[in-house]
Amino acid sequence: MTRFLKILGWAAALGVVVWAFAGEEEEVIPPGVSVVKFAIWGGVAEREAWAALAEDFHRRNPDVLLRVQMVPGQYEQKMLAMLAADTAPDALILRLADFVPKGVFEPIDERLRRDTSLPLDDLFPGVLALGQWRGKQYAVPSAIGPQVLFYNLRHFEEAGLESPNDLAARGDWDWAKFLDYCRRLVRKDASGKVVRWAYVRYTPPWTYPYLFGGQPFNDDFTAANLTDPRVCEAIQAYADLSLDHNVMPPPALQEQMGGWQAFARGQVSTFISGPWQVKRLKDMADPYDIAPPPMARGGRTITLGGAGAGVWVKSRNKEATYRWLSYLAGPDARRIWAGLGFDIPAYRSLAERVETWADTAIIPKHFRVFYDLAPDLLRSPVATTPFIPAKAEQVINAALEQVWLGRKTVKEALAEAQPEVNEILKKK
Amino acid sequence: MTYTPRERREAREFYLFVSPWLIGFVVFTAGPMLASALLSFAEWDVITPPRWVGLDNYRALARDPLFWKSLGVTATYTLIAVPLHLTVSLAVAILLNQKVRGLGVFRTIFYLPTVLPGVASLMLWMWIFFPDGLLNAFTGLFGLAPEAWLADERLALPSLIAMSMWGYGSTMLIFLAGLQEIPQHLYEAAEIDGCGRWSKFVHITLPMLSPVIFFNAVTSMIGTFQVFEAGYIATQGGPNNATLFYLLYLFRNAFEYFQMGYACALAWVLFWIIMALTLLVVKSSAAWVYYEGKR
Repeated sequence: MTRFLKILGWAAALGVVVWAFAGEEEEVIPPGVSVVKFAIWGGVAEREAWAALAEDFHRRNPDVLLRVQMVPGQYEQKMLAMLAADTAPDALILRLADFVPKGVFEPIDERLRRDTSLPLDDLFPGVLALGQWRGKQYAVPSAIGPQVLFYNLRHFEEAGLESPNDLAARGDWDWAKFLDYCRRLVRKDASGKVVRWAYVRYTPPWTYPYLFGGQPFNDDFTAANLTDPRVCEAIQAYADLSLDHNVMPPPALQEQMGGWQAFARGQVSTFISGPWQVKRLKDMADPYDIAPPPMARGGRTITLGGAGAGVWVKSRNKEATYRWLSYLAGPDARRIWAGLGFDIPAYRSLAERVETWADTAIIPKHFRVFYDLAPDLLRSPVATTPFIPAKAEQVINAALEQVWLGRKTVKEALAEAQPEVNEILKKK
Repeated sequence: MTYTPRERREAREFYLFVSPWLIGFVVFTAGPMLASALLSFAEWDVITPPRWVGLDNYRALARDPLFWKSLGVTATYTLIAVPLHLTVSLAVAILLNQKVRGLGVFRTIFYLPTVLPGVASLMLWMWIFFPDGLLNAFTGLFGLAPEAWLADERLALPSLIAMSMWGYGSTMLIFLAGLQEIPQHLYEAAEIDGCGRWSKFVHITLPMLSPVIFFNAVTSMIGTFQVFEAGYIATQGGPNNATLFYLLYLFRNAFEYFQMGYACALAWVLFWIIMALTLLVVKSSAAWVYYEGKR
């Protein structure tokens, strides 16, 4: 028995050692074939679409096998861990402002210049800038995320409100009109408690100044401009939707209600967001439509996201990885992806033939609004998430908490936040 | 000192059998601890090589208002949650120590929340605390105005403390085991002397249970100083940092702001705080913990 136990003990110890030092089982890859790993957020809804794209890519590039890693949540944290362990995927999507300075991405200017497969002339002017950082190209963007107003048609009809699209066509759709609409859309019970809100926030507060013609950061995102009167006026106008007019739930309550979720449930009549909501809202009970966002004089809408994937600097298959990114940015892949309701391809030829790729069963009536706004939103400087470091966003949000609590005005809060935000931007 | 061949063989076998644990401890616990101690003196964004900054991270901590805020929030949480947690779990353990029909069923029901995953329980509680949730519906029956429990700066932390009471099962189980260890003859003797229920509780149950209370107090205190999920999932540290727990702030620095060196410094400060408080409780135990009837 003792002998048996001893053998068992040695076997267990040996097993632990072997297990500890054993590597991952290597996949058998045919000679001459490269494997490219691509990580993207998303879940079940996107899995099939990515599988179809990967298959189509492999058909066109038989020497490359694509492995799509779906990350359902905490994408950035997981990529960070993989980067630290030197096991990052060959292609990944991360904020340029946070990760280019850390040397995560390979510049692709040269490859892009030599790439004859991409119809770059067909892209909307200014789109490529979404994948640039400090003058160098790191990603191939070919989609845009114009921020538009989503509105509940039933609520508008009940309140007897004219379509914002008709008002916009006449040049009568502005922030003042929107505020008037919000007051008429909000519903309260006998005790005065709001039972249906007019508006819920989706985009970060620093995006509102653009609607008012302000610019919260300088052209190359190296300094904040938070004390500019137009910046403060815009964020104050947004904050007043809750503080003064009681048509928007306070932010902490919004966190609980959700943005698009509350709209989909009919608890909120309007919100501003991008084209990816089309897919999410496909089963919404009430009909909805989109319209240009309300703006003050001189304002413009913005694009969020849209940077595209970049090549990991330590990838062993940079050429094959670039080919995948190029395929992904091309009109064929864009058409498949956009047809599922996820984004808006930034190709002029596709913009002219929406009916050839859009799922007409799920798109709202004024779907073209996304394209109508494109020239304006790609005007320099482009306001988009990849250029704002996460910590700078957090500092602005923390400062604005004082506004929600009624302890400070927007001007006071932002004046306090500005030095710290500048410090963060300067370090990049 | 000389060892016989048999003793040497036994020693070899001892190390053989504990080797999986020893290797695991060195590789997965001691190694990372040592690394984090060194990194706390460096600036490191996880991707580029660390840069030695000496005590800069610790100096920055002292000037960081969010460090003090998160420490304050966590200390407040601990101060309220631990006594409440101990009281509730002891009360339930006493109830479950009674001789009534269906006791096994009751014990199972009361322990059930503990086996549920923490995140699932939190989601459930969030629905209860939601503005249109069950709690507001209940308070509305008494004519009370609805509250934004998790969205109000004054109510968010107390709401999370209330949520944490749900997980008393393990503590309760230890109390229950402790209660069953108390010799019945002590109660019988007390009854002969004319002691009432309260008197028996204060003079027999509590002193006899004091080692268990001590154990639960220490483990609960360590646990509450490391609370994370509630602030991360239910309130994201808000509103206005009212639920910014220490570990949540540490996580943000490490994985959202990529300040791993600073996060390591935060971790070591927390380690020493917990160590100091634990020593304090251990020291104080001489005055209130009884072992075999002796302090």
